[in-house]
Formats: sequence, structure tokens, C-alpha cells
Amino acid sequence: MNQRQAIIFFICFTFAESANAHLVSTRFGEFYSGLLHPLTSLLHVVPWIALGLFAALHGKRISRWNIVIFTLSVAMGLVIGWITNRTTGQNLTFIEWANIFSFVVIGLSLFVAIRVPKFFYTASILFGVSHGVANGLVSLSGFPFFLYFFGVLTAAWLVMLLISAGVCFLRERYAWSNLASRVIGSWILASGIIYTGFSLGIAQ
Amino acid sequence: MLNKTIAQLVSWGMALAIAVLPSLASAHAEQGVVGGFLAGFLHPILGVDHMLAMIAVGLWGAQLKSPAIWILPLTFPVVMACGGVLGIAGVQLPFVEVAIALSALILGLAVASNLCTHLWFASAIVGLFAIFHGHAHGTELPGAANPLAYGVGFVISTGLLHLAGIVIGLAVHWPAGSALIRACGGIIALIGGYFLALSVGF
Repeated sequence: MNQRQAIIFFICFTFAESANAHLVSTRFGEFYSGLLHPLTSLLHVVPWIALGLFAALHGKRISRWNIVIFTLSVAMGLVIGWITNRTTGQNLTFIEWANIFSFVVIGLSLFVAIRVPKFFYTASILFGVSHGVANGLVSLSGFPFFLYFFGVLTAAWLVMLLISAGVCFLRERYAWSNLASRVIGSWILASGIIYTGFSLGIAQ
Repeated sequence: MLNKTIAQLVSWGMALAIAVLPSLASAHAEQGVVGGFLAGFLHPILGVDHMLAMIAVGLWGAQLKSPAIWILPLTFPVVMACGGVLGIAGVQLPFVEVAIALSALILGLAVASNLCTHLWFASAIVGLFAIFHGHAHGTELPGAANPLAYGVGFVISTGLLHLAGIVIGLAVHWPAGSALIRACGGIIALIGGYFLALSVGF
């Protein structure tokens, strides 16, 4: 390569064309908005990961059911949140507290590794609804809600599916994976305690 | 022929160097979720006394073997979080800096002496120090860019430091490794002693 070729190579290298790979600027933008809304918020994504781990602790059968139950619960919550936002235009403060509470409850359940299916399903439904409502309380200013709705549902479904499947796979092969789940549970519980303390301080 | 090859190599080398050595972009401002997480994640690592005490917990757990190897790192974050809440609430604990330095000293000595004790006693010592470590992190939290991300960051960082201690501590299965771990404990105790001397004003 001579000097001229090196300069041409360098110029070509630094002038990349826009890829236009994402459909955010089209109608599908709201789908991505819904998909990313819970995934980019630690207050949503961390308890969801914890719930996926907690489901895997109960075995494959319950994990499979949980993917459906949690996604439907989130769907129900999204509709409630959307209707509430349209009719009253208000945010529901207690929903935020429910989500903070989910941090602590699911983290603690994972930490102590309790295996009570009824408790698990109840937590999955309640927190699915509360997280759904929190995601539904958004102002889309005229954009179609159904794209956003399916975006959030896809996020809920994906998180549950990937975490549960991954951990069930590991549990079948490695004994340490149960312990690793409990350690992650202790981290989530610790984060939840700290955030609860902080939120209580703000509330006062 | 040889000169031509060398010249080609130099040209390619220069082109590659230009391509792989971009100037610092400074594209990521430390704010929002990422800023809060980074601040929390780095807090235990940049504080040498925090970091050494966390590693010592992992080392001691590895020396005490199962179930201490997982109970100590499992308990620490939860108790630390309670200390963090005290810090957030503005509850003043006495001698926080002294206690943190003392934790590195005592945990280092426990590792250096290969102290085999009851699990409840080890948990109590670790839990006591965890409150002070949590308090120190908690007092910083309200000023963080994103308090939740800060909390998640410092808990993960603490857990990973424990894990680092456990991984290093797995060397106890070999005689030379056991001696090395005890030497690490001695170094941690020495540095802890230094910080203790600083914190009491020497």
C-alpha cells in the first residue's frame, strides 16, 4: 500500500454511510418504544429478571406457565394503565410503590429460595399487573397504543423466556446454578432495600 | 525486494495505527442510569479499604469452606443494604471510617491466621462490618445521578469483589496456595492497619 492508497483507505474508513437499519422513524417506532421502555428502566427490568430466576427455581413446568401468566398479567396492567391515563390523566403513585415492593419481595423470595407455587403465581400476577400499569401510564400523544402495547408485551415475554430457559438449562447441568440464583437474589434484595429506603426518604 | 516488503509493512502499520488509535471521544457523560451505575460500581473499588475488606470476606469464606463460602457473601450485601438505608436516612454511626479500616485489619488477620471459627461468629463479624460499609456507600447515594442505578452498581461491585476473593481463595486446596492466601491476608491486614492509623489521626 502506497501513501495515496493509505490516504484513500483512511478517508473511506472514516466516512461511513447511514445504515437506516432501524424502523424507529416509521410507524413501528412505537413498538420499539414499548420494547425499550421496561428494558431501559432498572425498576422494571431487575424485578423481571428476578421473577424469571424465581420461576426457574420452581422447575420447568412452572417456568413455562409463568411465561404465559406474566405476559398476560402485564397485558392486563397495560390496558388498565392506558385507560386510567386517558380517563383521569393521573399517575398512580401506589403503583410505583408496588413496583419497588416487587424488588424486595421477589429478591427476598429468591434469596431464601422458597418454593411455594401458589405464592409464586400470586406474585407473578400481582407484579405483572403493577408493572404493566406503570408501563401503560404513558402519554403517546396520538400514536397508536397497540404497537407500544405489543412492544412492552414482547419485552416481558422475552425476559421471562430467556431468563427462565437459561437458568433451567443451567440447573439441569450445574449444581452451582441454584446457589448463583440465590446470590443474585441477595443482590436484588439489597438493591431493593436501598432503593426503598431512598424512596421513603424522598416521600418524607 | 526486502526494502519493498518493509516499506509495505510500514504503510500498513501506519494505516492500522491511524484506524485503531482514535482520539478520546468523551461521548458518554456520566449522568442518568449509566452515570449512577458507574458511580456506584466504582465506589467500593476505588476505596482501597472497602475493596480489601470485600476480597478478605471472599478469601475467609474460601478458607472456612462450605457453607461459609457462600453464606458470608450471601449475607453481606443484605446487611450492607440495611447499613446503606441508615446512611440514606442520615443516621449518624460513630467511627465509620475507623470501623471500615478495622474491617480490613481484622478480616485480613482472620485470613492470615486461617481462623477457623463457628459460622455464626464469622457471619456476625462480617455482618457488623457490612453495616459500616453500607453506611459509607449510603451517605453518597442521595447525590447520585440515579439512586437506583447507584445502589445496583455498588451491590454488584461488592458481590463481584467477594467473588474475586472466593476465586483467589480456591487456591487453598494446594499447600502452596494456602500459604499464598495467608500471605494475602497478611498484606490486607497491614494495609488495613495503615488505614486505621490514618483514620485515628496518626
